[in-house]
Amino acid sequence: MKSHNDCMMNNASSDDGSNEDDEEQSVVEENIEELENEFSETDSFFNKTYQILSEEAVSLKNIYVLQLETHFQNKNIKLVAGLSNFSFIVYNVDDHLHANFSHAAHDNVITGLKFVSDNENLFYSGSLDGTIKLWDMRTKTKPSIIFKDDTDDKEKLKPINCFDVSCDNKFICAGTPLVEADSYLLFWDIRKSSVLGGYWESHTDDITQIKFNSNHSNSMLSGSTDGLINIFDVSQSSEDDALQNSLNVGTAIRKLEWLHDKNDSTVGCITDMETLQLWKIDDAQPFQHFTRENIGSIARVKSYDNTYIADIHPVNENEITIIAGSNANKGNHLKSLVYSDSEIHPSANFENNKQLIRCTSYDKTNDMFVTAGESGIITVWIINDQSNGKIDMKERVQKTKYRFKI
Amino acid sequence: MIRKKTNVSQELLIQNCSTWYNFQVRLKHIPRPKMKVCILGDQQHCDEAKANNIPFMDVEALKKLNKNKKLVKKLAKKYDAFLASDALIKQIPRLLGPGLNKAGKFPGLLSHQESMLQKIDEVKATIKFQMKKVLCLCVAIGNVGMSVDELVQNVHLSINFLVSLLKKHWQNVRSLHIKSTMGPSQRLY
Repeated sequence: MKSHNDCMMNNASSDDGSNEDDEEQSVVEENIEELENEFSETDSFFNKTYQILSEEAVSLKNIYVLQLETHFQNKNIKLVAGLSNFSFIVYNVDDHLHANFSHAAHDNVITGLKFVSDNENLFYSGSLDGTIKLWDMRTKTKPSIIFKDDTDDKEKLKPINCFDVSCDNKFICAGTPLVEADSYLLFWDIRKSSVLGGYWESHTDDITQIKFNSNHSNSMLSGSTDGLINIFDVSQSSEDDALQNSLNVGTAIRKLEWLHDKNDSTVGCITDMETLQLWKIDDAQPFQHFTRENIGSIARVKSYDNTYIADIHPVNENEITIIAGSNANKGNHLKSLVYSDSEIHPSANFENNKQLIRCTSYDKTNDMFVTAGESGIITVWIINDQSNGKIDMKERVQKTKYRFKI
Repeated sequence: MIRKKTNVSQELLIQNCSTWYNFQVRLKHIPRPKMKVCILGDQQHCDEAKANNIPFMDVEALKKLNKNKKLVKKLAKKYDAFLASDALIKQIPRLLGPGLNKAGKFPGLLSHQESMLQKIDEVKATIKFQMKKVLCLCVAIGNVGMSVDELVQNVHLSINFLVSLLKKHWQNVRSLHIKSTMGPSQRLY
C-alpha cells in the first residue's frame, strides 16, 4: 500500500511543475532512482497475470518491431512482424514461435501490415517507399500485386503512412504524410494496381491512421497529426459529400480503433500526448477523456512522466482493454487495464516483460496477447490460470477500495 | 516576438523508427495577443459575441457560403482560429465541406457552460509543438511586451512539458536557446 501512496504523491507534486527551478535538474536523478524502484511495487491490484508462452528475438542486431499483424485460429497463430530494417518476418505459433521466413520487402520503413480477412496465407504490407504489396506465404518472396500511386510523378511515389482494407475486401485506402502541402487519402480496387482516386482536402498534416468499420464497408475513419478524426462515407462520389463529420481531438492522433457497440458509432483514440479519448461519431466532444495522469495512476506507474499507452482492444460492447506501461527501466512495467461503466480498473500484470511495447494484438477466445516492441522481441502471452484462484477475499476488498473514479 | 529554440539530440535508432512528438501545451500568459478568433455560434453565442465585440457568424451566414471553396478559403484566411457552438460544430462539414479542415482551422468546441472570453484566451494561449524528422523545435512563447516573470513561467511550462514526453527526459535535449525575432540567441541549457 505504501508504494501506492508514494505514487499518488509523486503525481500530485509534479502537477504544478511550472515554477520549481530545481525540478528541471532533478528529473534525470529522479529517473535513475525510478529505475531501481519501479518494479518493486506491489502487484496485488492486478488480479490476473499473463505469463509468457513463447518468446523470441527477431534478430541479434538492435532492431525494433514496428508493426504486428496476427491471424488467430484456435491456438494456431500466424503472425507477421514489420521490422525497422525494412523487412518483415513471418512466424507460425503452436506452442512455440517458429520463424517461417523473412524478407527484405521494402526500401523504406514498413508502416502497416494486414491479413486478407478470408485467407490466412495472404497479407498486405505498406511502406513509406510508396508501395502496398500483396504477399502470398506460399510463394514467399515475390509480391502478387504492387499498389502504388504514380499519377503525379513516375519517379517519386507518395509515401504510405498507414492503410486499411474495407471489410468486404473491395477497397484499400491509404493515408500519406504531408506531400508538398497536401496529405492524401488514396483508394485502390484490390484487383488493380493503379490508383482509383483520392481525397486531399480534409487533413492538413500527416495522416496517421485509417480504419474501416468492420460491419459497414462504406464507413471509414481517418486520423491525423493535425488533431482531427474525419468520418467518411466512401460510397459518395465527391470528397465534399463523403465527409460526414469531423471530430476535433485537438492533439495529434496516434491510434484509432472502432469500438464494438450496437450502432458502430464509438471510436477510441490514443493521442501523441499519451491520452485516451472515447468519442461517439456524431458528438461535438469526447464522452470520456483520460489523461496521462489518470492512466498512469491506475497502471501504478510511479511517475506519470513515464506512462505510455501501448494499445487498446475492444473486448465486447461494454469493455475495452487498455495496455499501458512505463518507459523507465527498459519498459518492463506493463499492465492491462479494463474500461467498463465509465471507469478504468486495473486488470492484469504482464510478468517479466522485457521491452517497450510498440504493438500488440489480442485474441478474445483464448485470452491471448501477442506483444512486440523496441528490443525486437515478440512475446506470446497466455493467462495464468493459477493466479486467478489464488487471490483471497481480503485482497479483493482492498482492490475495490482503491478503484479510481474519474 | 521572442522565440525559444530547442535542439534535441536523439539516437539514430529513434530517428529510424519514426518517433515523433506532436503536442499542444497551454501557457499561462498569452504569447500572441493579436490572434483573431471568430465565433460560429447559435443564437445565444452570437448575442454574447456581439455584446463583447467579437467577430461571429451564425448558421444562416454559413449556409450562404454554400460549400463554395473560394469563399470558405477566404473565411479561413481571415481569422487565426474558430470556436463553434455544440449544435453547429456537427454541421460544419456538411455546411462548409472540408474547407476549414484544409486550412487547419477546424473550430474548437464552445459549450454553454464555459465563458466565451475565457475560452478565447485559452485558444490564444495554446501553442503547438511539432517535432518530425528535424530534431530542432522552434515555438513562439511570448512577446517583448511581456514581463520577465511571465516569460520565465512560459518557458518553464513549455519546456517541462516537452521534456516529460521525451523518453529519456533531459538526456534527449542537447541545447535550449531563447531568442527574439531579430536579436541574438541565448543558450539556456
